[in-house]
Amino acid sequence: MSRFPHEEKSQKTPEDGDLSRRSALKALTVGTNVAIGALLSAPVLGTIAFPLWGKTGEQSAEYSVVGPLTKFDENKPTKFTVVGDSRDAWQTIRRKNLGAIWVVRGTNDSFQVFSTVCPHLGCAVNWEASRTTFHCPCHGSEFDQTGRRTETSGKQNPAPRGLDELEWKIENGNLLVRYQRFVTGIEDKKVVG
Amino acid sequence: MNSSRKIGDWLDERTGWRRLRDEALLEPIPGGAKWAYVFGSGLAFTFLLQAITGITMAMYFSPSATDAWASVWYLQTQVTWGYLVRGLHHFGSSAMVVLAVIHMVQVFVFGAYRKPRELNWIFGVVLLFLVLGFSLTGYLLPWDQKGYWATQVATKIMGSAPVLGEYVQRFMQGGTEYGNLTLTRFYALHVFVLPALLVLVTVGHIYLFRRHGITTPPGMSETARARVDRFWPAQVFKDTVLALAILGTLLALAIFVGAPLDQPADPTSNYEARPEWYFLFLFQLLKYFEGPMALIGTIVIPTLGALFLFLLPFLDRAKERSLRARLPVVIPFVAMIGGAGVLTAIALQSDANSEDFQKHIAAQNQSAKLALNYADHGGVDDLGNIILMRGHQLMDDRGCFGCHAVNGISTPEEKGGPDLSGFLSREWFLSFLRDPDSARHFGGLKAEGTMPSFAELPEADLLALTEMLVAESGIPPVPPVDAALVAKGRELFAAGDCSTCHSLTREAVDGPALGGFGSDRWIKRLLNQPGAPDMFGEYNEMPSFEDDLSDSDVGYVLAYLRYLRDIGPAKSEGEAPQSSR
Repeated sequence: MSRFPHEEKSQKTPEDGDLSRRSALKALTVGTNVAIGALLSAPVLGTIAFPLWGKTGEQSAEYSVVGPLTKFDENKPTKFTVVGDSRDAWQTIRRKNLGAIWVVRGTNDSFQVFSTVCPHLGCAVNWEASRTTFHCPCHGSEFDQTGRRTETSGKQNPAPRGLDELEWKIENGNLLVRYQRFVTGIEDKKVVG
Repeated sequence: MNSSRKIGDWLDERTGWRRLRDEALLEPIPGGAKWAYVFGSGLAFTFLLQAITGITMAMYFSPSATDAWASVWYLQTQVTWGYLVRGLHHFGSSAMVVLAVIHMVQVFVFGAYRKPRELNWIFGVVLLFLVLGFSLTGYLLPWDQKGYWATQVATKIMGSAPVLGEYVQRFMQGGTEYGNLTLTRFYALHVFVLPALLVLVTVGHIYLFRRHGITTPPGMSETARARVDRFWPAQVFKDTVLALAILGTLLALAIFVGAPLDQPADPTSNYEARPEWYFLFLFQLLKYFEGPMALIGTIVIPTLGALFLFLLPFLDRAKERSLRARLPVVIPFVAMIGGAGVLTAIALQSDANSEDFQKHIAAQNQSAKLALNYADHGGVDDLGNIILMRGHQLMDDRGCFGCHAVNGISTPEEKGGPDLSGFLSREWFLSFLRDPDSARHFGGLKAEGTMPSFAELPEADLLALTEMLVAESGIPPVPPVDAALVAKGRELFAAGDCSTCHSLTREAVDGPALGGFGSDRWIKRLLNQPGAPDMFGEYNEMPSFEDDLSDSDVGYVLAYLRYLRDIGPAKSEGEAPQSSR
């Protein structure tokens, strides 16, 4: 007999003969484990997957003041930041930078307001005054001053649609803009979320 | 044969996994499977549970002094089943300690630490201290009052140790005071360092256990030992039953008790800190040593206890495994475990008997409830302030509640201003138009008698005037303003008596100007220049807070007044206001 009985190779185990009891025990053990797996994975998966159905953030959908009308020059696209209330998971933030816009003032208080987000893949477009073109530095999308996609022969323009226009209004001598984000990479202008 | 077998063969040829599986599962257990052996695997299961729930929580937790509390609040109250995951993790830590102690006692009783298993015992003691390390570091992470103040005590004890104590404390808390670096450090320890160490030592622990095999109970006969079960399925079944029992218990605790969350840590408060229940014996111990002797309670005795545990296998010189033969180690071991138990009981008892402490706890629970209620209704801002809580505190600090009553929040001894319950709500305007000199409004104030009652007007007219006044604030109420009613209200206003004293612009007539009444701008003006002619003029009794509230303070007060508007006056006295969710 060796010092530790379990090292005996030829040991007979009593329950070896008792096959039905053994397989019942096996089935019961597997069943218990399945119960454990189910009880544990429900809360864990529910928590992890919460963003699929829960609201994890929110940006003000109200009009925000961009500035007094005197601030905007005619026919000269200028970049501004829109500020508004937002909620990001656990944070409620007042007057956060919601996003950037290009403001193009026409004559007689007519405006066009574009999101700086390129509708191709979401980089920020620049205004190139010398070419009177909005140009995206990432993949070369281009738009004219009215936000339309430009067609230059022999040159690819990856933008699927024109620049996204934002709703604006004038109140008490101020320009107000409603900032929204749109799904990139598709032809239609569709609000995110 | 079938394809799964073929895949199995293919893998086995390359990895030898079947041998590994058999090695793991077919280990013989002399004397048969026993319930006494389940606690080690119970610990392994609970650790796995802690790892899974911990990783899940890490997807929501932000270890910064401004964000930690809010991120835990968000997980606990906003995320689907987040409270279950956090509850499992919270009570799981207690389960780890309980199981570790039971496992240790079982191993001690069976004498399983004796030659050649000394190192395995030592590994086990290391694991016990790692588990306690998890508790200590994890308790702080929610950055609530309880965790903050209890952990302060632990790090201050570190700091009190001679010679290097101060440096250890400074190193542990990432500076001389608690702050962002304390959280990031405790977080890194809790989720990277300690788990890595625990896994490493556990692997060693299990390897040594497998090398030496199970230790049967002392005095088991040779015939009984001859009966041999395999680990699978005889022992695995018992282990699994325990695992299910643990999970079931923890789930029940998570659902019916719930992991606590106090209000956010406030370094300026006085909070009577208590550690988690399994550290209470240490907490109680240090009450018996004062002044220069304090070190005995905080460091010397605990160190001696730890040393005893580590050295136990070498202190035991007995020839036999029976408890009787091992009396020289049994007595101190029992004294230690029993002593810890007795100290825990005394600590619980003295807190239960202390009226002051019970009052303190009740007040704490009340503020914790209020904080959670305020967070649910107004959110937490990027400075980590619960917006409504801050508004409440500012109004309290500036003495607002010394004059203004608010249902469920303030009952001033002497009335100095109107009641603010439901301030600026439809109900409030209506009640004011009907009876401006009631105790709720101008009654007993300078302004008493200045505003006539319009109780005689038809209900429809009162509602129209109310709607018009509500619309002036520009802050959309629930339900939203009815434009037709507002228009009707304006007509009545112009045609009736109102316009003899009030304007609907900012121009002062005889009474307060009503243009933009109740708007953010108006409330700011009320706080800064309540006595201006377009405000309450000569009838004003409210002090100006122009120099006493910063712009951001005013923002919190505004948010709080909006909250008072939205919850209305419906709550009974002494109860925190809660709107229906």
